[in-house]
Amino acid sequence: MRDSRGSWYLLTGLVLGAAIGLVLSIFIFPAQYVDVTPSALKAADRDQYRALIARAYLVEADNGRAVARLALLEDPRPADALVEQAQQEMGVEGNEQTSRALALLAAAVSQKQLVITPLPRISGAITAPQAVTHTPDNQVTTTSVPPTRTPGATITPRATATAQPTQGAPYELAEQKEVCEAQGSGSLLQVYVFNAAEEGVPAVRVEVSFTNGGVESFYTGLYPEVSPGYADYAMVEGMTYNLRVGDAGQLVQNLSIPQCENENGGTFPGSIQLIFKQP
Amino acid sequence: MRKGRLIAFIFAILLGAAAGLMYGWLYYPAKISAGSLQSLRADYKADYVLMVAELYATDANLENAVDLLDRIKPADPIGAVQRGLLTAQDMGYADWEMRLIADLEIALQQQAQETAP
Repeated sequence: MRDSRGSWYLLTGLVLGAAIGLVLSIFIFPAQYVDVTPSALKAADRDQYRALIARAYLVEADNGRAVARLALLEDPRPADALVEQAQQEMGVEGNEQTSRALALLAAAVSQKQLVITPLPRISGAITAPQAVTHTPDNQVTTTSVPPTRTPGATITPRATATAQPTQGAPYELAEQKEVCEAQGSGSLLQVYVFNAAEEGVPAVRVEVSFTNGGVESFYTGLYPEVSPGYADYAMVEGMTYNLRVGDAGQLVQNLSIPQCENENGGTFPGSIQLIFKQP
Repeated sequence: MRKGRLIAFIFAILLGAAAGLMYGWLYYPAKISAGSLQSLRADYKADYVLMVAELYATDANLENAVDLLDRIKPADPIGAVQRGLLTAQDMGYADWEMRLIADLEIALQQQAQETAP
């Protein structure tokens, strides 16, 4: 008797085996990654790496090095990735410094000529009586430094609050006007910050407080296509805001959504434009 | 005859499984980004350690430095810095960069000694 069932069972076996192999290799025994480049990092680790690059940039103030480090991540548009992450970090308590660093680096990527003042190093913060030496066989050893005669009393430098780069004189309000543009863009507090040389200043903290006691902050430089010194904040109908630029800038009070008139005599909510300058 | 078909069926399953494993281990990983900071190559880890050392040099915040180092070598921040120092030496880092990393290592060792029972 001839078997007329054909060879379909072989195809069934192949498909079954392939399914088993895929499940094993992807879910049960996934590949272990070693010696990867930053571009192969998963999203969360890429963000951590990018944030560290930005924070190191504040210390080094070396645009070339920061850009070269960013290039390792192979982001299609590095400045956009920095801005996006800066906005995400802004909403997390305690991450203002990181958000600011990301915004500043985004500005540096967009404007090659941008120069920042590096954060000062705390000299004398580490006064360990030990020295690290490297032996020829690449073993790190720590040896005690022999005691020496103590010099006369000096003032020991203390750790201070982290300084902010590119700070200068407090910002003053130079111009305030209502903006009545086409509807649809929302009601914004449009803030422009310029230095004494009339250049837009990125990474300046803008603090908005509400009449009910709440406070929010945001930074300039997230929209370099508008101006490196530009930032905006969406206002809510019925709320009154106070706004300050920088840590010691002039306080602008009682800001609320202005009402604009359209061609038909009706009204629509407008925006407020505030221009701050350093004297 | 039936025994022959059974052997061929098992052989087909094994062949399919081998193909599935190869796809999952060799081709599929190349299409996704799933590496962690722990799996970074040694030279990138050394640069990471340098960035942490630079931050520590400005804020003297050892807790933050340990938190960052934990991401490349969990529970062994001193080991991470030592490894970074050796790689940095091999790669010819500048003296001031080596000094920064060494300062961080000294601070970590001091802390470890202070917290040791």
